[in-house]
Amino acid sequence: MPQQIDWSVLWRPPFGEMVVGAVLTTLELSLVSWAFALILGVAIGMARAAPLRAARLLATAYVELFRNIPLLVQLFFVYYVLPRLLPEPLRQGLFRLGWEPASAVLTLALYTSAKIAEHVRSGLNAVGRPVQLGALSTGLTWLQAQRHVVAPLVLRTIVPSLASEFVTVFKSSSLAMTVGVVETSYLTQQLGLQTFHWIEANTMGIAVYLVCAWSVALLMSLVERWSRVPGVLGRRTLP
Amino acid sequence: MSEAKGIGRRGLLGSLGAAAALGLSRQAAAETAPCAEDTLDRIKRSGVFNLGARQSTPPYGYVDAQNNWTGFATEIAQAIHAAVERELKAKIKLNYVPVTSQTRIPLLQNGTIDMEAGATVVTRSRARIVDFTVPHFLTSTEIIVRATSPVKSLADLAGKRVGVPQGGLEEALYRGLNQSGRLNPAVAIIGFPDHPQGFTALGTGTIDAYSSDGPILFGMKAKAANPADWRVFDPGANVFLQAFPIRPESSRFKSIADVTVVEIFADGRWNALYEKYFGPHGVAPFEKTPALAALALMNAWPAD
Repeated sequence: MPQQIDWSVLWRPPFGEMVVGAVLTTLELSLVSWAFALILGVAIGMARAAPLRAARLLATAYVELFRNIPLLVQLFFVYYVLPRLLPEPLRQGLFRLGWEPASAVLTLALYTSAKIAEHVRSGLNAVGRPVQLGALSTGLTWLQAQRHVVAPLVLRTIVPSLASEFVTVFKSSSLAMTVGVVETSYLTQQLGLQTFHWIEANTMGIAVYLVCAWSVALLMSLVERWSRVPGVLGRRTLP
Repeated sequence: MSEAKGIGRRGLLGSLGAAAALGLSRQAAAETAPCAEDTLDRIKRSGVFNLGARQSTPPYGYVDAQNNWTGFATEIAQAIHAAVERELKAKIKLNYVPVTSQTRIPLLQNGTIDMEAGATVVTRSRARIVDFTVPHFLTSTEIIVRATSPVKSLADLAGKRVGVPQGGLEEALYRGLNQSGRLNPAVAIIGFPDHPQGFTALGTGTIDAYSSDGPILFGMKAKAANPADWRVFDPGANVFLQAFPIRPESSRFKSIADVTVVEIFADGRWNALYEKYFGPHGVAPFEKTPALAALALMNAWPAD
């Protein structure tokens, strides 16, 4: 039973290839979910201050629904139940596409977008109504005002909150293993079971998530520095 | 006042330190104990027999409607617990620890459980890591599909989506069949954390077939809302022995467990258990194969 530590299980064939594949799957899941979540989250967040009452209500309902159900429960619902509600041809299409990663991306994107929408709302509150009114008073339509004045300011304000959501996406992507996606967490278990080198396999998992998180933090701090508008940002400069 | 606060703080820090030290020494003990100590001594010292058991894998191990741990494998393990009590002439607490096919070996290795009673197959790679008791069962990998499914043989699976338990043998089996070209186009293999999730996915149509140990699939079928909706068949891919994994270097514990299993075969209890769980009116009706009958004969060692 006393087993020698042997790090080579992480790269010698056939495991090396499996590790690379699983890490790429984690990156793919996280980045694709993040891209969808960012677009959806910003749109929904901005909609919460829209002049249209129906849009505001819809956006609030969306956020309150997806933000308040545990991610794992949502994932099980999407993976197991959603296909049942779809017509047969669409269902077969989804299965051919790879329903395991697709359901994970869908769930992660919905959940994360609801959280991003909340950050956008807090950003809107921070930037404040005066900017909104000022932009409208120049003759811009509501959409133009959002696009050219309000959104750029809001997004810059919330870069630090977005960074933490971005890191969370990577961590949450590990839940995809429960629906059979062979990503990093799944592989750590698979590797442990096949080689019994649990220490090496689980350490690898930890290292992958840490490197992802640190890279995202670095990237977002660069974004923050690059997007900073001197003198404009910060509540105190606004009346 | 400030002095009292200071003492309080030191006290807190001190107790934290003590707790950390205790935690570390416990951890160290857990790491060395499995290698150094015969499982029988560990049970005697602690007064507890930690049994890794299956919660939802009928007919081998499950929690019944009265909330009791039971099943074919669980009952044999209960007999081993009784034999340990007789050997030690002491009351030993039987502590059930729920395990899955993923957690059973690591939990045995790190000392959380003393033995696992489920549907664990004896494989060469596992035998290098743990010891096995005398095999108590013999089955093969089978496939469950909807009764109306066109899948009737292994070849029909080509291009379909097949679910397997994570940590079982099936994943490697189907990967091998894909690589050798026996299944062309390849099957998509989807691993589930445990059997119920796999059966749920089959029920919702997320996968076309679920594949695992035969009687587990018969157990699923028997427990389904309408058993006639499901069909189980043997693709003839393999045959294997099942036994209880235990920690190595525990020869005294192993001999008690082995002799208990053999006695169960020899005195007719094995047949009674078989009837109860696999017989025509059992939990998961499963026809006795000639190989299984041969195992029952071979493992009934003579008493002298």
